Amino acid sequence: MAGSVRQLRGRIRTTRSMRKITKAMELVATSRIAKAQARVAASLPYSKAITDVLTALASSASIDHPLLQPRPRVRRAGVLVITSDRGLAGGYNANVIRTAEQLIARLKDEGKQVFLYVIGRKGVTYYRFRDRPIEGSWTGFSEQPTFADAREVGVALIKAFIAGADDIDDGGAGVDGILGVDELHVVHTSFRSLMTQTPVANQLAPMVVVETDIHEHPSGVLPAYEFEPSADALLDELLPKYINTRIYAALIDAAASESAARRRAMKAATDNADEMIKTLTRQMNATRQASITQEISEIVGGANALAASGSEV
Amino acid sequence: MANLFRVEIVSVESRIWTGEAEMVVARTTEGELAVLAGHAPLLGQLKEPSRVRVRTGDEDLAWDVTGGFLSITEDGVTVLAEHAEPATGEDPAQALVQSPTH
Repeated sequence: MAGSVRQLRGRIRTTRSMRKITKAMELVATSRIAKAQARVAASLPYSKAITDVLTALASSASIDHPLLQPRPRVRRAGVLVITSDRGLAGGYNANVIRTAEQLIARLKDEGKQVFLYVIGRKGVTYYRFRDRPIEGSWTGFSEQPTFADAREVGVALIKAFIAGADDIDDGGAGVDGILGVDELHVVHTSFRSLMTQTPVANQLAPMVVVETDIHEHPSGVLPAYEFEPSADALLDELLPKYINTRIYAALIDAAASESAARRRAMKAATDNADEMIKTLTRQMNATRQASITQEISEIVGGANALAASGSEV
Repeated sequence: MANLFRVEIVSVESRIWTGEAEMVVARTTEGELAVLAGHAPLLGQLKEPSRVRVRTGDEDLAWDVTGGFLSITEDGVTVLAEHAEPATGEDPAQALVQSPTH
């Protein structure tokens, strides 16, 4: 009996220290959400400005830029999957990988070969364990991505995309000898609210040119721009930057989602630990009380027995 | 008092500065230019690296910009930078003269 009480006390102690850890992780994740959201907000002025500039450019420059033109035949598609470096985030990674798998299955159905690009240790582990070839992977910044990280990824992806331009139909690598991709997709988790984060798949390149509302502009027409250097040269420079910006936006969105998912998972773990501590404490008290009761009844029984035997003598 | 116009300097990770200015001086790949109120709409790529100077009513500000573009519209001037930080060095104008003109 006493042994069982000691065991229970040990389990309570263990649960309590686990609770401390999960609670700390919950608090850290909570503060990271706020930071990540602030970074999303801070990146908006630039992405708005670059969109405005590209809109103005698109009306003046020829739009047969390789990053804008859908290729006549898409043989290979690149898929960038953004996962987290650490686990303990509930279904965060499982969800984004499931969405990526759906996209990959769809692309394969369309007869395209899929090249995988993975961000985050969890995604890398997932694909490596399944012996799936990974074209490129980047890890170590999933919680706090910087633009430099996004640019590194963007440069590699754009290089692969440009290398795909001259690939020949039978699957050969073309004159540059490098197998490239004809399409780029990105799968990341989008932060909807503290409780909801949904994985989404977007096409990165060739870019879908959205017909913009000219009516939004107060004067009704876009200003007649002068360009330094020429509009086409500017487009050459701006489009890769725009793709980097898109990747950066996806990264910080994913970082906010990751923290939100982790906060929720850790909150659930903390609540469970609380519940368990309560149950175990009750169990321990009942066991202790039972052993005390038993000891008393043994003493009383013994005394009674002695008294009874004494009176008989 | 010169006419003022809106200036916004944004980098990818944050908005660096926004306010009213009398004049903006920047160097595009084609050459240096100064923007006053009422400048014709222009889109330019900034020289790499580049220093952008802004004269507000009462002070001169300067930033060192990499991966920058300059957009002038009737609403004002926007400098888009991959990275921008306050210029280091003594007098921004002096530093500009001393900076290599490659």
